[in-house]
Amino acid sequence: MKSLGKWLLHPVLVAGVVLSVLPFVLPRIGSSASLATEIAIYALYGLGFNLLLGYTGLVSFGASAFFGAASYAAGLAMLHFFNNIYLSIIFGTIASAVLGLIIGLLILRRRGIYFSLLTLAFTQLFYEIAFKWTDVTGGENGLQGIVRNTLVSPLAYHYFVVAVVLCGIYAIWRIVHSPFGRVLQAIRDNQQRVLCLGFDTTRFKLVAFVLSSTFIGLAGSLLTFMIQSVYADNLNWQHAGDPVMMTILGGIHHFLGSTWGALIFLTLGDKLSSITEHWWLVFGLILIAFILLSPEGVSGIWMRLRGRGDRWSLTEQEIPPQSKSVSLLNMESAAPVRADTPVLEVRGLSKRFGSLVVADKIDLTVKARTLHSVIGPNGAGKTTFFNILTGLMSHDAGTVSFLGRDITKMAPHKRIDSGLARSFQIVSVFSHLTVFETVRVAAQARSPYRASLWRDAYRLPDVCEKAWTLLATVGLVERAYELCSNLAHGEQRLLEIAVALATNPELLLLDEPLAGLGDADRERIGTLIRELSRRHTVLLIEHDIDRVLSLSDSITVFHQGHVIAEGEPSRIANDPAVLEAYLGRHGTRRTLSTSSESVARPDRAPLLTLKGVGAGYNTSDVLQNIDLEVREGEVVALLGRNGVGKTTTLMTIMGMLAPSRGSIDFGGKSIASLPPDQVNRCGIAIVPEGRRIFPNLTVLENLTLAQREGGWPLEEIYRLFPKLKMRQDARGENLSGGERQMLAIGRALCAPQRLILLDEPFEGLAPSVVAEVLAAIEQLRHKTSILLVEHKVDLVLDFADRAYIMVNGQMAYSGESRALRDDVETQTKFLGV
Amino acid sequence: MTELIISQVVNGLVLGFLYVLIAIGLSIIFGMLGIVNFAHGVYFALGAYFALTLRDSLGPWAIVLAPLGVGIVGIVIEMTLMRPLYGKEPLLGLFMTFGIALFIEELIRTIWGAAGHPFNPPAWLSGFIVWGPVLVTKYRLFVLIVTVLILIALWLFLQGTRYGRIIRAGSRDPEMVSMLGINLKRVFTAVFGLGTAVAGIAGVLAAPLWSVVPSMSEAAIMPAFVVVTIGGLGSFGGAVISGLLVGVSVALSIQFWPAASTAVMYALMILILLVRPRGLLGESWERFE
Repeated sequence: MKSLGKWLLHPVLVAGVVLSVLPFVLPRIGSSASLATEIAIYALYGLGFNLLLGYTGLVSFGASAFFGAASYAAGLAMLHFFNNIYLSIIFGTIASAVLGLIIGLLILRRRGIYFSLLTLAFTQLFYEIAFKWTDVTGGENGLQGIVRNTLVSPLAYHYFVVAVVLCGIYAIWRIVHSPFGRVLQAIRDNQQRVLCLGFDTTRFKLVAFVLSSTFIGLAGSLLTFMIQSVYADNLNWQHAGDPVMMTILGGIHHFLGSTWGALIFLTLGDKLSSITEHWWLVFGLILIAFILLSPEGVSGIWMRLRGRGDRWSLTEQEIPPQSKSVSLLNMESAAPVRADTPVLEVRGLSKRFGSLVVADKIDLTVKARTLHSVIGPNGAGKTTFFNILTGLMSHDAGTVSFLGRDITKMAPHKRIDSGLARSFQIVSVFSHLTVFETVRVAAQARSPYRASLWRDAYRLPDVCEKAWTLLATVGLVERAYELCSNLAHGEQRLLEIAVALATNPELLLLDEPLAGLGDADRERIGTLIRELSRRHTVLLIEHDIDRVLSLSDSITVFHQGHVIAEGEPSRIANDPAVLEAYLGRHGTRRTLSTSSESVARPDRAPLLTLKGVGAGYNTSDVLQNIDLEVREGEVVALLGRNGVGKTTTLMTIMGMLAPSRGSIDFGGKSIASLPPDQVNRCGIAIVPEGRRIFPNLTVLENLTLAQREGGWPLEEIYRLFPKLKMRQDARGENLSGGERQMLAIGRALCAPQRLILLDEPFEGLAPSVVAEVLAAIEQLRHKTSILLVEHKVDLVLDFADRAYIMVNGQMAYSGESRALRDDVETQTKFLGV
Repeated sequence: MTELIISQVVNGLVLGFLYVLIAIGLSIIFGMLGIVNFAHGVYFALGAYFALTLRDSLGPWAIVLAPLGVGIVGIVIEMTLMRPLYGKEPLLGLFMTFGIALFIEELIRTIWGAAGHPFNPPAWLSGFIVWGPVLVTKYRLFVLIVTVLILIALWLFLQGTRYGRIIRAGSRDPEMVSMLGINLKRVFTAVFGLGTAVAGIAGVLAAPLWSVVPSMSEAAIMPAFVVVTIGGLGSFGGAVISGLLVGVSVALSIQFWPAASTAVMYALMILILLVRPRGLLGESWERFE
């Protein structure tokens, strides 16, 4: 019974019934029956358009160009070649498809806004041609004299059109549920991730573009024989808005959205135009109202009425049932690989951005079925290294060979095909797909039907079973029906791993899989990774040093683009060079260390107070229950390993992130709900992570932009950093790392401030520059309070008054920095290797 | 022949500078808000219509007040219709400007009618200037000078003033701008007002050249898109170069191949974008790619 109900509500059937009865309904409300035919044609037009917008995420203004061009092609074919409706329609459709292929090949390489504007230019070009090339197109008068020699009666033609349109709708229904169509929806959410699953995304988009132009072309050809003439009007850019408007009215992310849109658009237009000639006035208002109040159009309203919230209905909601006995991934079953064979060999890999060296002659060998970790302080070049390995980023010199093959020049998706897989540092899943679908699309990359247009993707048993197995392995079976965006952070991390595993990789590249996780999740994922390394070779980037040391077979340490150590965990843990890189032990000793009186000042009034603050992004709280205090004139260090939430704390203080719990007071006043500009005007300045210098402004402009009455005068900033004066006319983008840092500090001083937040001021700087920046910060301490985030511990402890240490979003330690300086045990426990 | 070419080039420059003026407003709005403003053409048209209405009662003051009025309309629209969409799906902003364009264009038709209105330049600007072989109307020369002056003023404003710096910095990293104590909401509103007011100025200047008709908004928006894209998004210099390039190409083709006079700029745009993905002087701009 249920299946019958489902069958009766099948979108194709629903559309069929509605379009069939329209010629009888419309005259009753005073419209002509021929409007019904037009609605059917526009329904197909809208669906073809939405294949790009709603499914692939491409904003094209080219739809009307294909619609119009096909109309002309069909009309001209009728007049000059065939004198046969059917052949002419087929001709028009094919012409549009070919045109789509040519234009697609030309412009799909351009991204984002440039792609959209190019489609608009093509539309206008076509319009001009159609309008001006009078000999062929009839210009302003259009193409006349097209006579329907069969299907003469309007009703007969209507049912012919309905039949053809329904075939088109059915074809699109199949396509969006096919492996091919499912990949399109993944591309819409995250193109780079799809590329990293081994799909050639450019080709997928090209096929989508051609398919879209084919369906639109079919609709355009049908229109020719409905009005029995062709006008250039349909090519005009204002008509490029027609499918856009239908889709907004109906609902972008609903399969039949544009069909309902077409119905409303044309009927309403017809009714309104009989009342007033200024019906666009009403229409414009309706459109604006929909965008503001119901961005998913009437389908969105319908969904809300049915209590489904803002759920999308681009495809069927159901996912295939899991088979009776879902097994876990068998860790022993993988094909045997001779131990000790190198899986990955990197030789002399180098890469620089301008003057910044991010990889300098890196050599690295990863042996089969081992867990090899890459560690190193922030900015060491680890993620860059992964990006080069996967082909997302080009490099300057060196070779990469994988399983004995040179892959140095291979395209990213081909590398994945040959057995590489990666997870991403920033969780990178498909936010509008279900958890099951996300893993399934990844598993599909290995199926022979991975680009099939006609099969039902959910009826590929191997792929579905694989997806269930992976979900069971990472423990997400219960969450399979959930949208990825609704997962907690830890679950998304697990999903990342499942996705990376789905392509059966020989080598798994995991980029900080533990970042931002609590202890329980760390334990769980750490164990999983260890187990996986029996089945795959794993190359792991991770900052959780304790776990890296206990899990890894071997470790390579990066520092500022160099390999500074390599070997077994026990050796690395005691390597002096590594200790130095992490803690700066034997690094730059400051000259002023004794002069500054680093004594806690409990007598001073509190300036900034955080109590029980929690904050985070989307669903997951990165910060939990943070207490922190900075008093007048104090220098406070906020320490902790990478990814524990230090930057998030600063951003929450600044008002960039609203705290979910707790209070933030500054100078006796609550600032928890203030926007960033007002927080700054209260007297908190920030030197942010990555410096965030405006690249298109000169040094002087960067400074004067921030200048306010009561801030430091320019001369004093120049006295602090004489280099800035020498470079004052250079653009921000041409500065070196050290100069950027000085500028960022200088910029923070330009407005009056009582507290400066410094986020990793020494990151990526050469030792001599570190000393220079440090000396400047020394001078600041007498004029303002400082909250300093840093991971070079000894550098900071020498002159901070008090220190806090964060571990995984919580405060783990607070005390006088002197005490901490001498407490090597605590340092090592929370911060060291 | 040469005289003809020179005259057309001068006409092309006039046209080109008008295009630049429209395009600059489009460009700064795009840079700051990240929205391609499809409604930019209607602000241009509104400039002409406001001047048309005001000049009977106010005379020459209309020239100044019309663009100001357009700017106020822009500010009201930004505050009521655009602001709720910031931080949401970027497509919605684009569709919103589209809806606004449809609405205002029809509003113009409703208020002022579909037919064109003649708009004669003041008496002291009618007539020709003959300069050797070159023949130019006085009014075109006037438009040329005024647009150049306005562009210089705009350039000085963007380069030399604090507000200009905020606009340029904000196009790259609006968040950082707000962390420097600058109220971003107000900046967005001001930028929108400025961009639309500049379009309004262009509309006032264009009124005597193209008669005042509802379709003048289309005649402005498409070339403006082309100019911005060819020049490179966010580049002032690029917009000037490409505006003149487009203006002159259009003017020359009007003379020698009238049928292709509009098509030529789209062909130019497609060609340049295929060779130079970011236009002539466009910089890498990760927010929008």
